[in-house]
Amino acid sequence: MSADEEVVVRPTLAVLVKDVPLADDATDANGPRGLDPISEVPLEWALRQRAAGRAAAVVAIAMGPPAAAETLRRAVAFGVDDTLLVSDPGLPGSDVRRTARVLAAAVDQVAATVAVCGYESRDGSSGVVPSAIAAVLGWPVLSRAAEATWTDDDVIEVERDVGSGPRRERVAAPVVLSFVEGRIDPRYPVLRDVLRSRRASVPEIALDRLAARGLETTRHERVVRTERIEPPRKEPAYAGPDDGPDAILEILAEQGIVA
Amino acid sequence: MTGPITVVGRDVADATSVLAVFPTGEPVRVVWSADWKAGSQPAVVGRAVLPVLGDDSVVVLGSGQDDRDLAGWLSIRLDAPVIWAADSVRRVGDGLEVDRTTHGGRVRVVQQVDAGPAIVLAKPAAGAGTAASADRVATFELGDDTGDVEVLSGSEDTPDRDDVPLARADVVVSVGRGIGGPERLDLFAGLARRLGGALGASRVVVDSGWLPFAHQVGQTGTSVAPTVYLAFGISGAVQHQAGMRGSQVVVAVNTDRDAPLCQVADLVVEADAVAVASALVDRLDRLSTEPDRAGSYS
Repeated sequence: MSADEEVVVRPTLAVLVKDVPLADDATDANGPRGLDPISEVPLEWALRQRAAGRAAAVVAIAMGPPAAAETLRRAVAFGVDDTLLVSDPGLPGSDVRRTARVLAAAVDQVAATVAVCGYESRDGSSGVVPSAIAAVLGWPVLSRAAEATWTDDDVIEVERDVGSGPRRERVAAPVVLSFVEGRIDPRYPVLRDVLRSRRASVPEIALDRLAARGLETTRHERVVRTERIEPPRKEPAYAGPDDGPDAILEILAEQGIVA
Repeated sequence: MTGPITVVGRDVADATSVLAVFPTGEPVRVVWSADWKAGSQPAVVGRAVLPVLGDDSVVVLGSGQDDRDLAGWLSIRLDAPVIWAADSVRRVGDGLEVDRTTHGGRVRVVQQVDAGPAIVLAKPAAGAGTAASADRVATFELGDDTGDVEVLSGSEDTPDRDDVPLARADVVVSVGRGIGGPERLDLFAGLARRLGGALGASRVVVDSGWLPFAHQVGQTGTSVAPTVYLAFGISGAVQHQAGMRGSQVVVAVNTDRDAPLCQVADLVVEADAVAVASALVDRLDRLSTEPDRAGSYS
């Protein structure tokens, strides 16, 4: 770059990905785990921004046990530049606040100014963590983004729907964006990249090296019991294309919905 | 001792629509603001509502995205635990006990939190009245602060939870990817209208942009409990079932009788969703044009 060229500081994008149980209806703690499918959407978005020259680097961040490094290797196969795994004996069972405080500190650690994630995780599904991270960082949050477009060096236009229909908003970095599935189709990593990612080293960081605050909180919600609910076993009636419509009408009539 | 229970919403009806999670008679404070628009920055709403909350208040919100966003901000600012998808909330000792169902309704989790501030995201119970008495009401104002976000376009009107036809509808016509494409939606919307019901959708349909999020039935979207739930081309993942398991009669129209939703259905119509919906509309048309039934559906 020549000396008189304007220096554009391109941001680092942090993609917050989650290591989750992958089996449907996962109640087995020892079942297979991997990258949360929703995490692929912000990964794809971030990689597109880098390809378009909008971002200097994409760093995938996860918190979890050492085995969660596998999930970050999957992010490497997608094409991220770097990874960071926050792993610590003090982390298992983290609630919304602890998760948000740790991830916010990790975003700081990699000096990212745009943090992106899925709108809710497959296993926790509170949908609260993205805005809690934004609260810790003091950044705005735009949740449930379908697509986001960089319009200027640090200005992003976001299309999202929080229940009132589609809306467009403009925000300047730093910002937290949470993405929904649908508009952005994640790539499928090619075998070569998958194989290469297996050798990738995943940097680990423990809590004592992370500038996270507020982790001493002790008042947590706790599970006092879980009960299996046995749904009443139904034996459905079956109909086909010919008798189906009348069978439905009969039900609607029985329930007083049509005369 | 855990402090007063405060429900935060956009108006009194919106706020009180979540009261059914409390035992009858539990005194509840309602705090609302008409300034709380859809998509408002949680920091802006949070800063405005904080002064109206007590120090050890239990803050109860609905389960929409704006509620979730505010919950995240408040949990950090108040250093309060968050409990989400709560089906019922009661006081136990000095703290709270909350029930929620997980794994598509197959597991009930009972959680407790000790005395102090807490944030509860309540599942709106469809058709539920106000079980608790809203004996105190306060308002808050947001002012012009937009939290560094400029709204370029889009409605700021949040579908009022008490007015969302979906949550209280007697009939829900719900569509999944099996209907083929967004060009088929008019047919199903028309069927819903004809039955005096509402149009619901699976998450895939909403994520694909065929319908706005307000139509989504499921763990993330709206919980419905209609008399009749008509599902067209919905395979019925556990997340979807979590939002419709309160339905009295479930009809699944699907070409695949092994789809998960067919296992909780009362009637499975193994057929093409569009063909069955068209046939239903035809029959309803004929019914309504019969002279002795004229006007039945006006």
